[in-house]
Amino acid sequence: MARNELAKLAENLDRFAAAAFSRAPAKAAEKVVADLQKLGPVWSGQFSNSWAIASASRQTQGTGAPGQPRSLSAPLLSGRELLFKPEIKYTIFNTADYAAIAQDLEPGVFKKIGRPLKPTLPGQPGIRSNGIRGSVGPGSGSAESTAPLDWFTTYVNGGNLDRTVEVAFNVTLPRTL
Amino acid sequence: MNYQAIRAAVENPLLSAFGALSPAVPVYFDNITASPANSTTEHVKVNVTFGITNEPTLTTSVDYARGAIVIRIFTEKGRGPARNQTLITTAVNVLETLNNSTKNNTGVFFRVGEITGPTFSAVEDSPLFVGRVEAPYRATVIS
Repeated sequence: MARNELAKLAENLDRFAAAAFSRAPAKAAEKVVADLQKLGPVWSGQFSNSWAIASASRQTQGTGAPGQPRSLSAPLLSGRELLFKPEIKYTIFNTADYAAIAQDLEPGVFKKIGRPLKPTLPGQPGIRSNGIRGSVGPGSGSAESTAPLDWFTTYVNGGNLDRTVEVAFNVTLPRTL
Repeated sequence: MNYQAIRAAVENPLLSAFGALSPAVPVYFDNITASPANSTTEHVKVNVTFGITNEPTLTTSVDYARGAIVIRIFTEKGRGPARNQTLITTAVNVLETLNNSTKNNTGVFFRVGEITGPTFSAVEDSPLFVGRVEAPYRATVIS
């Protein structure tokens, strides 16, 4: 068989495998993003709409716009990525500048603008301890939050993740692939 | 499922370790607000969270739970990371010691996964410097 025919065969195989099999890991990644949007804070919606899903060669990303969280489609894997690359097929991260604060990984400074798109937690408003977003306790303060403390850490470490997906901590800038 | 027993398995050793320091460092757990809320003195905040309870493939004779332990150390800002790191070492030592426990016929068998951190952060408005470590855990309640 001529070399160019072999190359064409490999390409066709790649297309076939991608079309036939790569939706399962993609669906797992999309579900993780949907979970993170559901569990995480939603005040303006910008954070919820800033999740990104990256495969080894492609990336899809939320708009970062305010509003209700919108579902995100994962990039399709090529046949070669599906068959030969490492077990982790997708990396999920948030591109908002303040992602680490929203994920309770770092303290921040908070200013209320308007009302949240998601209901605040019961027993609030209260007092926020030392700038940690979700650390709002009882008291005569005005702090409010729309997701429990350490929601992100709990989700990532609590055993909910599909084995083909990893969620990256502390990634605040879009990747260039 | 005995969530209290799981929580106690990690909270008690941490409370003892920080209480044994000189001077003792106050430790605040879930749903206990540091007093005052924005304390300017050093303290430790421990959050134990639960992810999955009793995966369906397991038998009913034991209870499993998975989750995360998050330990935040608050120390004075503008004095370098040394004090914070000293306290973090205490916390990490406790987490590592939890993995040395033996599996008995009753009680809680506790195993901590890889420890992430420490990470450090500070914001201008807060008087305190924050160090953070976290680790996943898997606990088995044996009865």
